[in-house]
Amino acid sequence: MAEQLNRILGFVDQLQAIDTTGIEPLAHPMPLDNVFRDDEPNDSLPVDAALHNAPARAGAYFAVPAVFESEG
Amino acid sequence: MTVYDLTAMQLRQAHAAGELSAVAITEAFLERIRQQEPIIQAFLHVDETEAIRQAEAVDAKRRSGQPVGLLAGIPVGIKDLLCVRGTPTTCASRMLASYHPPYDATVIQRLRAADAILIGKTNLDEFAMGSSTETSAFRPTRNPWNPECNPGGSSGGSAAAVAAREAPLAIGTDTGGSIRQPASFCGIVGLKPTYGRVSRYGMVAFASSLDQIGPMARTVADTALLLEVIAGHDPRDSTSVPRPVPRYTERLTMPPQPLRIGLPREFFELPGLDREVEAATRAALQEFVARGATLVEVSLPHAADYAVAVYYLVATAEASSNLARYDGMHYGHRTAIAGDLATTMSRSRAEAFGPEVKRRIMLGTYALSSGYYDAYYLKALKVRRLIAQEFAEAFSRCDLIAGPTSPTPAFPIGSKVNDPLAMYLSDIYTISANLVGIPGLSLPCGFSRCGLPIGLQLLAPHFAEETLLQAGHLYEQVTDWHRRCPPDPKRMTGTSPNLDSPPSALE
Repeated sequence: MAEQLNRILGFVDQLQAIDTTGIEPLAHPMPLDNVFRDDEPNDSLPVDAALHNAPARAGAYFAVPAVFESEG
Repeated sequence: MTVYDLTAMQLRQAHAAGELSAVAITEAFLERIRQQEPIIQAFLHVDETEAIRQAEAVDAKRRSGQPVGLLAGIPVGIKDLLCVRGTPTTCASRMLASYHPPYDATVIQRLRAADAILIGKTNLDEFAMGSSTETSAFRPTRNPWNPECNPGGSSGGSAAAVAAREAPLAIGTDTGGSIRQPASFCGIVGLKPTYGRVSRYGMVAFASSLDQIGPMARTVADTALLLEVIAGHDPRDSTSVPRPVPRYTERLTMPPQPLRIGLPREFFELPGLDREVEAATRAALQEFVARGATLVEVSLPHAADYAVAVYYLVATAEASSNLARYDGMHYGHRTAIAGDLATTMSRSRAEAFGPEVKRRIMLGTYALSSGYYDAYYLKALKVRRLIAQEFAEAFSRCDLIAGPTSPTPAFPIGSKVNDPLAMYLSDIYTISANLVGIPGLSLPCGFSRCGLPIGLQLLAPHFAEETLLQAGHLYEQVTDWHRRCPPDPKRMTGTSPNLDSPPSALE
């Protein structure tokens, strides 16, 4: 894996040779503005559907390992 | 002619005339799937009972005199990257092996509203990352034209299913060529629409500034039909464009103005371009010339030399961000080994992602990391701008840009899996369309001596899908490549497929 990554990085390094002085980066192919909508309440997923794929659940919640260590 | 040989347009007519019920059509394709799948392996999931249930509902609707949709009773294969409510949606990854989405993608809603039959979920490279469908965590798909070859990728399952007549239509997705390259390898038609033409709501994200959903079919008219159904604005995808959808199927006839076709000089000078592919492409262009088109030489030096490098920085950077969501907490694989939060997340990802996905996440994370961001990610975005400017300049002098879809025909399964860079170069002609957001069409335009299909790629300016479809339709009227049918794979077992002159590998 490391050797393959090195080869790929060597390949993309060819971009360094291109003169991009004064060129604006293009992050997105289409001119996009923020898209706003009215803040109206809408249907959302029922709790059971939202939890259906959870690896572990506790009642109406996702069960996850402790986020903070107890002795902290 | 058997039912599975009919095009979607022919099936529509037969259904409208009452000659074939939706159930009869669906049963014919399910039978074909049972016959072909032991070798082709295009599908990851087929639910026969559910497909028949959908068909019965369409037939009942027609019997009751209600109007039916544009795709009434027509089976469509769905790349397993799109959420279908209650149906496994795996992205060909162990990460989502048991994921059942609680909702439908917008494209799926549109297909249902058009009374299409969702016949099954098709195989792909894991999370659409690959060009051969071999990075699928579950199984490779075989090319119907030669089972020792791959079908291209990442929408290889969709392409193989359509080529093998397991479905008349299929949905693919294209981030760097993933509709067009497999269409070319399997001898079918594939269209990547303009970025924003089709809603991506419910499509599992790979690289969000590049991903687009599109149609795959055996004819241009069928491709137009499927695009007409799935295209359009969606308030749930803020990148989808509020712009009317043309009636593509009714406007397939070319307007009388002569077509100007741009030929990028650099595309034909690529060292890895297979000679048979070049010859088939040039012959196809002569068909256009014979019908009044003029050829214009254009130049796309940055696209030819640097698009692959730009792509593998931009796409991996976006993928590393998009795939951060798979933390084993809300859905997807969670490791069975107990540990603290960070260890659980990291183990879950290590266990469930395959090598190509890990490689891209690492590359993308590196390209975005502090100290390397300017040199890699930002530099790539600047060269992306140069490529966009190059295309704008080229399109000021032509209506379409033409060239090969891929430098070679399909290559043997296993031949490039350990050489990611050689695999990436298979997309050298298709990648720029995603970087720039323009539509691209791949059409069958010939066969190699060993019987593998060759694809012609046409590119057009933003939202000029109509021109692509018209040009493709014109070409189809004067050629019959699209009518060829792959040999029955059962007859090929036991005999050695003809690979004595394999396509030249691109090194």
